[in-house]
Amino acid sequence: MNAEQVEKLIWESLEARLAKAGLTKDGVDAAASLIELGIVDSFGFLELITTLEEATGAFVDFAELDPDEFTSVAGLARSLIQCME
Amino acid sequence: MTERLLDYFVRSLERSPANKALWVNAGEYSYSELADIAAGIASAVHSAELSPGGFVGILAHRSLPAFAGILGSLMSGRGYVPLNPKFPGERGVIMLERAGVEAVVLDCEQLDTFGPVLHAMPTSLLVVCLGNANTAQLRQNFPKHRFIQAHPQSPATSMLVPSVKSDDIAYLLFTSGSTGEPKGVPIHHEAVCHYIDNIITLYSPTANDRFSQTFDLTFDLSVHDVFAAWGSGAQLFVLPDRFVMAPAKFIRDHQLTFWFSVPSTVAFMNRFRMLKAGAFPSLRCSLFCGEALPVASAARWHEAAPNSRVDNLYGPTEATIAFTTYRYEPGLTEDLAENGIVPIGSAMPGLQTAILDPEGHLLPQGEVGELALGGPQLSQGYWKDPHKTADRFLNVSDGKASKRWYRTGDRARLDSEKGLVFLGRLDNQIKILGHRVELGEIEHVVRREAASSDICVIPWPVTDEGAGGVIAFVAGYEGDTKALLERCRNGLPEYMVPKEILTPERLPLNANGKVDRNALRASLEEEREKENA
Repeated sequence: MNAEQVEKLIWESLEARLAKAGLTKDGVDAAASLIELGIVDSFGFLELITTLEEATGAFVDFAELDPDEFTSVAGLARSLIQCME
Repeated sequence: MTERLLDYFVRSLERSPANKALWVNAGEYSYSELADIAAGIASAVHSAELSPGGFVGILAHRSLPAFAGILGSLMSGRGYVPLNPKFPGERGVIMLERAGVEAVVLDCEQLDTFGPVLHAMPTSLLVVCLGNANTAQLRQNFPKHRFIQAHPQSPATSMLVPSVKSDDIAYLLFTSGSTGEPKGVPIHHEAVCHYIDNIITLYSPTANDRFSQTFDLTFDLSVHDVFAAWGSGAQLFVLPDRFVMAPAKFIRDHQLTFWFSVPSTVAFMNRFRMLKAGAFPSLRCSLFCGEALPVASAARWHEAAPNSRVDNLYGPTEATIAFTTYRYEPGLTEDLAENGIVPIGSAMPGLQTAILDPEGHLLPQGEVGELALGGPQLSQGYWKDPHKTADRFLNVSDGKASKRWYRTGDRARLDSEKGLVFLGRLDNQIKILGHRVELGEIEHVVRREAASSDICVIPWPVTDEGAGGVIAFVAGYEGDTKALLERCRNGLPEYMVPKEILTPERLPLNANGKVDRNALRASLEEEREKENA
């Protein structure tokens, strides 16, 4: 999977949550924290990560990261890609 | 015995004024600098003609003005009432009004968050501003209130030793109430000083220690963070919000030595593989409180923080922060612990526990009943609510003498080896991410907004630590559930807003004619399993 595909997968996984929040992909900054935007809470984030890890086979080492680096769509995609490399 | 909450800070200030007291938003402040900022606040409060003995509201969220605001309130000889930006403005207004607050400390950097509260307050407030304030603009935008900018100054002796008695109120917090209105719990200086003295004796923190600060100020566990640290001359590290559930990097970067959080944090970190063996060698004391601590979580934390003791603390706000403690040892397995939960142990020094039957009679050791707490940490009762006070605080006689107890509503049993074992709630009070929540309060708001009495709220998803949230059922509702959810959002803190509103044709009833919550939960589980299949 390349970066573009991973990001696309994240947006797809977020579809239902975005709809619930009355948002569309275009209205969300890929660099903004999904938690701070209220799109996912901590439990929702757990579910999202589980889905993504199952789909990509990548396991991110969150222990070494600042949450700022993995709670946005762009940051999460970057983290997943690094783990796949 | 310490008499006033402020004394903890003053003691360390006098001993080592240049020592660092606070790290917040990447800024560091010494005891002396913090004292000067707080004195500026106290001076501003003193400058106004306010009713004697009133509270100061804290309109600031885990920032320098928030912590200096607490100190400034205490220096002015008044107790404090914190607000929470996660609560809707409506709830903040109720809290300030019910407390009779006439003065507030405002973090001007958080005006967007707290401005609606100022707008909605029906009475005039003295607003003490910290941060970049344009007081002329504020006066124009909020003409009802009086604004004053606080400037740092050296505290006068009268500020460091205010004329406060041990039975004066140090803080007033509001907890979830079943009638839809939050319940005020006033805690007097004697009660909170008893607690902090115990913590300092039990865990021996020193001026070299580095404490975590993870709790919102509306949660009484925050009082532990702040005053256990400042009572020992240590430095308090306020975790930015984004780190609170994922603090691994923060703990390492700042070499924290004392950790205090809800157990949910451990479960979250474990899921994200942040609890690697030996990950946090700097920690020497790790305390958990606010919800049940699973043995598996305690074990993982112990592996990650091998140099730290791991203690499970238990206590309701009404009995001041925490009341019992249990030291986890790796020998405790899930099989040995009841329901896989770490016991809550025994009462801290000077406090008493008892197990009561439904009529309020003392039960013998080993029997299951309602846990009751007694001793100097009990609140004097709910704020201006003698009815609720009489319901939860009662006098029980053992045949010789009568003693005042607080009935916790928790089921427990006294085990001869493990001490007290927590067995769950007696009623519908649950924990959501560490926050105590009465399902009745959420139901009250859903009922009101849906204009329907045929409703029920259940915890969902349920985890070992408590609940991740709630789901509301509104039978036969034909309106727009999204709009209904939005209306509920205006009356509830975010963590209490239902994750979903479902509209079955009817609610299942049990043999007593009551809504069958178990049947609702079972049908929901079945439905979700089908969806995931």
